[in-house]
Amino acid sequence: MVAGIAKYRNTDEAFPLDKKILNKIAMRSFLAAASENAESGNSTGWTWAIAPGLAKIHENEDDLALAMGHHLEFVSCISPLSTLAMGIVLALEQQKADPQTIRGVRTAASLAAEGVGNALIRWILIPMLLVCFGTMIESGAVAGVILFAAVLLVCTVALRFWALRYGYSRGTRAAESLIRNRDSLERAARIAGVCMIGAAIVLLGSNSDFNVWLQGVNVSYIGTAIPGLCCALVTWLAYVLMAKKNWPVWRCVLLVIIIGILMAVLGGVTM
Amino acid sequence: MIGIVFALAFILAADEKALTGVFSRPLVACAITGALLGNLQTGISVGMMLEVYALAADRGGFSLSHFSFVLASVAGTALAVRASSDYASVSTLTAALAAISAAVSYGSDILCTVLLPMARKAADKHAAGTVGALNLAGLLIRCVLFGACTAVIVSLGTDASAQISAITSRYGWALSACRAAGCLMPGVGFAILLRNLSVKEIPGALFAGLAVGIVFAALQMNSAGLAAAGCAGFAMASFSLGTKAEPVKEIKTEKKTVKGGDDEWWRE
Repeated sequence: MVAGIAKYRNTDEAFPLDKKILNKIAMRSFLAAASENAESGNSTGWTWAIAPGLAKIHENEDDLALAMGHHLEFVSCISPLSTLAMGIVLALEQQKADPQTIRGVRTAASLAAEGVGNALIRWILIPMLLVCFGTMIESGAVAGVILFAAVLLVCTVALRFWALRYGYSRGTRAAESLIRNRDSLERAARIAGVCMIGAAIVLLGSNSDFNVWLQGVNVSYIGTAIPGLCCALVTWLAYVLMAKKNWPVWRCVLLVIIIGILMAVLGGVTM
Repeated sequence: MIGIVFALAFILAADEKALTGVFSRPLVACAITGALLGNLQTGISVGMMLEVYALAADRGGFSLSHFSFVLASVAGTALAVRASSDYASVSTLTAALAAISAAVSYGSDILCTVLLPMARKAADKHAAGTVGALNLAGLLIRCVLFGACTAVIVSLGTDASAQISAITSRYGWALSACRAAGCLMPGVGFAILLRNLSVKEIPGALFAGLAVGIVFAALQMNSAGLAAAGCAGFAMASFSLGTKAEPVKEIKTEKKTVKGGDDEWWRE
């Protein structure tokens, strides 16, 4: 029952989630990125975090197993803003949208929230705090470090709770108006999800310290995207092997480990 | 000292991925390490240098990678305190420590992949408690790896720089293999999603995403790239909502080796 393209059996809209459950999910979201694995990112933590909401929404046990199963696919939720994606996804679950729709929206929303959240915190908030308290910190004052940590802590914690509620309320309103035309919504969600995967394959796969064989090309702009293109090739290979040749996941994982070792031994990747 | 360093790296590695992510910031982590080891000023000096380094690294596109600063913060401060030296001596070690950090991080990710089939079985029985326990088990693996590596580096003492160079030159291939495999592994997760989202029907969306990704990866703006791809994806989705929907095709994949039909195609 777990993964694949099955649909929910009970498609009646569920009761809205109350504040208590939303707060529980927001609290659990602190541990959502606890267990990051190489294959599906933070999916274990994501599924555990939203499990109280899923249990409340899906009274049918088979539907609950299906929901928990498809949420174990790739998802990234390291940023505090990822609770926004959790809220949107729970709103769709409550409307009993098709798992394909939820899958597409989850992928697009979680990865977009990751990008925006990183930019907000690491590019705007932290540099701002360093400018504000930099003089104190440079003079060796402990108060500067404490203030830096306290403001950052309050902002990230508040962002988690606010984003979950905002995502859930806005997602519910949007889903109520869009859910009437399920086929259009499903296709639109899949387009957003697939577009996001295309970008994420290159962006998550590319690291500036991950050098490949084409050292000569690496000096140009496109050279920095080459590691990402390697990841795109591996994705295509895994897709073909799983979809066309019916390879199980573990065999694909093993193949990627072997490719990684070969690249390292042959000098493709350097420290 | 080694015990304190292990405990600190353990707790801060937990904070970096789970909890708040605030105490594992280089500035805060180094200040805490310095205070616990009896030299707060050195901790703050090293922390300020590493914080600026981390921000510069973020700009270079590392923000979405496994560029952890826990090991560099704790080990760097401990070595500086032990040698009674200033932060300048640590700066030479930073790049090597960050590279080891990345390898450890990817290594723990690969180890945690072993837990995923168990989580899928638990989900099949809708056992959220077991999924939560596996989530914590993954965190434990990461924390122990970071704690142990930091303790080993600090135990090298004043020879740390030379020893780390020797280790990276001797076992560099193993560290590189961890990073390469860890970097490429999400491809398997993406392949599962592409299969389940029936990408064959909408290849244009995939190529549009790839194009956005390549442009932003070339500009080394990974976070901005994800945000831009999100905008592009939702814009295309919005345009699609305004057009007449075609009925969704049923995807039938011929089963040759796996029992169970469409719902269980991925099972090991």
